[in-house]
Amino acid sequence: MNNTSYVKPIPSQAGYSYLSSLQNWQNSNHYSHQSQSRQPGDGHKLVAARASTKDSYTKPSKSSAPLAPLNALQTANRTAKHNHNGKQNNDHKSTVACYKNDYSNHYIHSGVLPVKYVRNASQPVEGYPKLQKLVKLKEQQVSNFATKAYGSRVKPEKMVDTLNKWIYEDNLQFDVIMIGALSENQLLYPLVSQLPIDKLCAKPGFLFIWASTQKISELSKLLSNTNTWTKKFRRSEELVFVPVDKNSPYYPTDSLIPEEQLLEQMQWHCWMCITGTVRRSSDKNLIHCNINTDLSIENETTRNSAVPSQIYQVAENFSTSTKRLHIIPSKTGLDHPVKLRPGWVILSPDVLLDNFDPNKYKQEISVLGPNIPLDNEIEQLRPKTPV
Amino acid sequence: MDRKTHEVLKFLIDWNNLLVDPPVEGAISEMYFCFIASCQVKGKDKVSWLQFVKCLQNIDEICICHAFTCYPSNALSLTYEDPFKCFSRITSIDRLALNLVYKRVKITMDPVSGEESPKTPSSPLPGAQTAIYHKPIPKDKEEKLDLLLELAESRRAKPKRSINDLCAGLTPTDLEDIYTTTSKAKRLRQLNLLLATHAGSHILTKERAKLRTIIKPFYDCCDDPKHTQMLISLVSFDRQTNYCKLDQHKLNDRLNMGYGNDNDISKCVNQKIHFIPIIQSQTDTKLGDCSYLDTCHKMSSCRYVHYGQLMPLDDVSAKKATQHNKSIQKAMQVSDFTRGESMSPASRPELPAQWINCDVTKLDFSILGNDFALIIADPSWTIHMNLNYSSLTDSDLLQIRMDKLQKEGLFLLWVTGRTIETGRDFLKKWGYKVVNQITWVKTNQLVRTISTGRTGHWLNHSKEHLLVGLKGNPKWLNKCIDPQILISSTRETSRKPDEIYGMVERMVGPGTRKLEIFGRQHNTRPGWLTIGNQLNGTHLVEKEIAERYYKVASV
Repeated sequence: MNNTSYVKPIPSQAGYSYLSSLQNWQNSNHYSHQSQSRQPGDGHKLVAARASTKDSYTKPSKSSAPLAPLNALQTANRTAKHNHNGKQNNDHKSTVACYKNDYSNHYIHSGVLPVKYVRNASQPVEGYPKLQKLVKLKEQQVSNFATKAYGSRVKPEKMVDTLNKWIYEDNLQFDVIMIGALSENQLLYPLVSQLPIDKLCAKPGFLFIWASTQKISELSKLLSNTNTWTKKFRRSEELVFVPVDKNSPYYPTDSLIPEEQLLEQMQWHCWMCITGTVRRSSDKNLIHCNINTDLSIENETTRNSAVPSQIYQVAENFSTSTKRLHIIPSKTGLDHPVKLRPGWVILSPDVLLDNFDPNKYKQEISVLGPNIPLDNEIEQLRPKTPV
Repeated sequence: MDRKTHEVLKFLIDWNNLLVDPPVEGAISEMYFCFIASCQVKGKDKVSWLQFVKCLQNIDEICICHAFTCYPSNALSLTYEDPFKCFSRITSIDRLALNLVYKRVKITMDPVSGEESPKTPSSPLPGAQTAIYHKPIPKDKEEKLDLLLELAESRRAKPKRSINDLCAGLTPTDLEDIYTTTSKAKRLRQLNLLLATHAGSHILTKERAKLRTIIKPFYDCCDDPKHTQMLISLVSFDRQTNYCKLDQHKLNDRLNMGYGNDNDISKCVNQKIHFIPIIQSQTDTKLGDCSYLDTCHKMSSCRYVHYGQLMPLDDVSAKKATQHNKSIQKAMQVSDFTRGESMSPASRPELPAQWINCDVTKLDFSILGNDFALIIADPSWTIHMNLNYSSLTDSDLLQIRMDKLQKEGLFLLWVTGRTIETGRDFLKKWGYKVVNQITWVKTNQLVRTISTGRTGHWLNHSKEHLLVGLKGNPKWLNKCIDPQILISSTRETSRKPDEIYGMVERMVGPGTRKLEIFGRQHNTRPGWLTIGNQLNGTHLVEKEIAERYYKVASV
């Protein structure tokens, strides 16, 4: 047969397992392309065609299989054939999968970004009434136990001084600290490594730090540097925020030249780091795990600010602390006004209001309490570690 | 605000830096002459010296004395008979204050004086939102704060400007018109325009990818709950395939009875995919959806809601696809744009699928050659969990001589939450620079992101990461064609989405050698050599590799 002639260059010995497997395959009934006319030297194409039918990877010119199921019956036939063909694939269960769109393929031809087709972007917990209720209860409770929205407008070069004053003169400490925003020019390394975060952050404490895909190597350099404050923090989750189309104010086009990017930039990364010890099973007064996911897609609730509100929400739902600080170490530009958020102190050169007073803040916290108290209903609803 | 003050305001906004810097140095008289000159260029009304000073006073008054800092500080309240007797200077101009005034003036004046900006469409703010701008500014401090916050909140996210918008207003009106091309604001826009314009080569590469990529039929999903409600009683569900089948007669009967919006639903059923809830005797709809949906093992007893997929009846999409796909071969042969390719790719036939079943840690990589354009690896990283496949320790993985496989090219490495950093580290040690990170957004049967099930330690995980390492500086890469986000549904444990193969094909071009490490049988495909320990034997067609492999294997 042609197949054997193709591999002829190697002396044919009985011990060559690949030859026998080839022959086995020829004799077996996977061979669904009998009708196809064969020409000399066609052998390898047949192997290719067989592999492609099996993996529903269809090469248009060589495969006679229908490209799409036209109705349920036809698809059923096709899927059945698949299972039959793939009987050698006994390493995985024979789950039956329905027709699925290839959104990457569709993007090439239509220009519509794949994220646009995610059907729960505006309501991430759609279909799960229990979770919906939990998210709503958490939101209410967080807003009930939130300080006033504070802003502190400070120039980048004065930030370290301001923070030192807060630490040493005003004895301020925060449990949740976010650094950076959705802007390329965050001058991450030089400034951020100077910030006295280890003194400012309580233990246990949580840090959320932003980077674009380009700056992520800088971020990992920062967090692996044992000479700065970062040695006390360990990276525990990577959050990703995705804008939903190219006109979004969050679409990262600043300073990006397509000829230099391997893939189109879409996403923003936010690392969640932890200092001190917290246990997800027993520290229910400090943290509530597994309420949010590590992915947020832009929707109506995102707001036009320096940071999407979904990520503030992840931090608020995760840690029960009422002391939250957001440091934006450089200007964010006209498209990203730094808006205030109740429950947070925002330190930025561009923040809309400059109303922060350490003493008033401490007073407010002493009334609110350092943590949001436990709520029976939330306790019942939230996902917990099996004991 | 009168027209003249408006002109002065615009002038100050455009030139504020130059006016305070030397040589003008904020001298009010010099500023006046500059203003007169700029007015003449545009053929606007004459403004007298006294009027000019009055305008400055007006502006400062509107800004509650925050617009200008003067020397002497009361400079604007003094009276000057003519410009040659005025030696006062404005030492700084608050650009933000002026811009705010300008914006507000524009909003209040726009509907009246339409000729001010004939080209730009009126602001897209709906009536309810513009109302806020017309509110009188309250005197009380608290109320002022409330209004400010309300204003800040109501401003809708401004969409990024399109190239056409950037171009608008950049062409000079006539030869004398220096203003359009030299004012600061316009110059910034010119630069933005330049940056936003894509290089021709990039546009061509994208177009080439389009011509060479097959079109897979694509069906949108219906989001109308009314359709779903109506279809529940009209379909039958096949549990074997998870598909629903529509009873056309019942639908027609229902439509004839005048139920719902006829055209709407019959059209939708023809074009879109519908997910129909399967209500069984044990189903409790109050519980919501099953977390596993179509992958649920106890579907016959599960009390949560499951869904069946109803495919569109019309196959227009499929027909269009077939037509395009037929012409691909031709598009390959006729290749006018060959950037990044050595020759016509059609003359280089694609190699069939090849695979070697082996222990990857023990295989001598020198037999595979070192000219792979791209390598993809999905190692089974150790995690603190019991999985039904053996995992590899980090040090075992690092020992593998990945550094031998490529002279230049890409290495894609699947990583888990814990190992993102380890993966970066390993890629660097193997000689790669991590240049990007692809995110696989995991979706379920209903094309919703996975959001339940305690899939991560602290937060739930709805995505996985694929690190992209680059070695050397290959000229043949097609850049920036696919986005770094990939949306695909989950399948069997640890099975990765097939969409990645399409993306790879577009990145490295057709007819290139690609290697998959730790692949399983379902990963094998034309153009790829797959190695791993769960493959069915060994199948090689490249002569050199086969010779080297069997020489080593027979020893």
